[in-house]
Amino acid sequence: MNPSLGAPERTGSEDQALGVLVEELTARLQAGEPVDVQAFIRGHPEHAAELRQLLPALHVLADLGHSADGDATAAGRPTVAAADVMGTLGDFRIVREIGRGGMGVVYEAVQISLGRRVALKVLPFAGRWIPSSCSASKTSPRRRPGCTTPTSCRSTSWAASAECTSMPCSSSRARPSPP
Amino acid sequence: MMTAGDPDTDQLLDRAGQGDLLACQQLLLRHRRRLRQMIALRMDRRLAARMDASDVVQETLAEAIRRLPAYLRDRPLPFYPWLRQLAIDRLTDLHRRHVQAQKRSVRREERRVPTLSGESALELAGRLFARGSSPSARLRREELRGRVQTALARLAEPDRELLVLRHLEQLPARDIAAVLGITEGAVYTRHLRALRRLHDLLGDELGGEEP
Repeated sequence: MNPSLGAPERTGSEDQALGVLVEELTARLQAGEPVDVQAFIRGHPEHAAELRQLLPALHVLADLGHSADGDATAAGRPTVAAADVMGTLGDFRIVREIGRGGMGVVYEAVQISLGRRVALKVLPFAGRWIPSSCSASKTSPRRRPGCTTPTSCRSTSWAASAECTSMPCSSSRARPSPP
Repeated sequence: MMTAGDPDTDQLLDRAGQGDLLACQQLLLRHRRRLRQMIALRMDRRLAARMDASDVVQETLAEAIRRLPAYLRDRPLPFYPWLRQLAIDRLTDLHRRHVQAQKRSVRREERRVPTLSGESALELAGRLFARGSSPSARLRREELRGRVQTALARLAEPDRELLVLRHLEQLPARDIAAVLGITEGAVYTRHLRALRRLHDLLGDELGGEEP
């Protein structure tokens, strides 16, 4: 391989080998693993020149990836003190009970994977994984995405292990319609 | 980060295929965060003003539950690329209904459905470099953002898409191969090619970034 950075002549097999090295570096950087770059380059002298050249771009892209990951879990999502948590149900951390009716119970909860506060309606017939049986729960109430009052929000989630629906809430004090 | 190739995922798929409902739920829930991140990255700004990425995630998962039995029979793709494709299809459909329909209603010129990454990638750098700690760090990131934004915009679509898949969605090569319908080896060489082109656009300016 011609190490000239201007117009290197490369073969397909050289590109393949370098591509594997770049993939290894990418995976390690994305995992947040400390990488001894100089040692890595010394270990692959035949690709040293181009590895040195590509490293800045790789670092920038790793930073982009970490920023993206951070944005997905960034602040602004509701957090709940452990002492406030009543328990968990699937992807939901239950904070408190906010309503109860003949067909089920509504809890204030936090959807763990998305970090958002929701109203969680739990029906007492857990364990039946029949989508059609959940259709009423999935569609009621369903007026618009997001909500300022749970009575006008849409169902956005339902779990297979227990029949429940969740509705994103902006006010934990607002009361949803009876389940 | 879980990937479609993780033994746990394979085990869950086997259990789900045997009718284990909890395994079905675990399969879907474990990828929810990645899915949301992908959708948030690729969601058109006009669409994002109307709905949250989380809503698209939930609709995608509901569709996935409906289609899971057929997927488990055929397994045409690794699991996460399959789930991701459902989300892309949903996003494309929403874009068509909400954004393009709106364009038609005001009698503007109708365009083809934009490639999601093509349109939103131009804003990626702006969104992703938004965070920063100290004022000097923010300033430095701000400068870098402009450079990266320009470079991404100038990259050819296939190169940009590869970088988005590998570095922003952080898909492993195996999953990228499934998404693009190419071999893993081709992913390595295309990734290398995209990096070279990005370097050609950024190279000298990033000289100081080298550790």
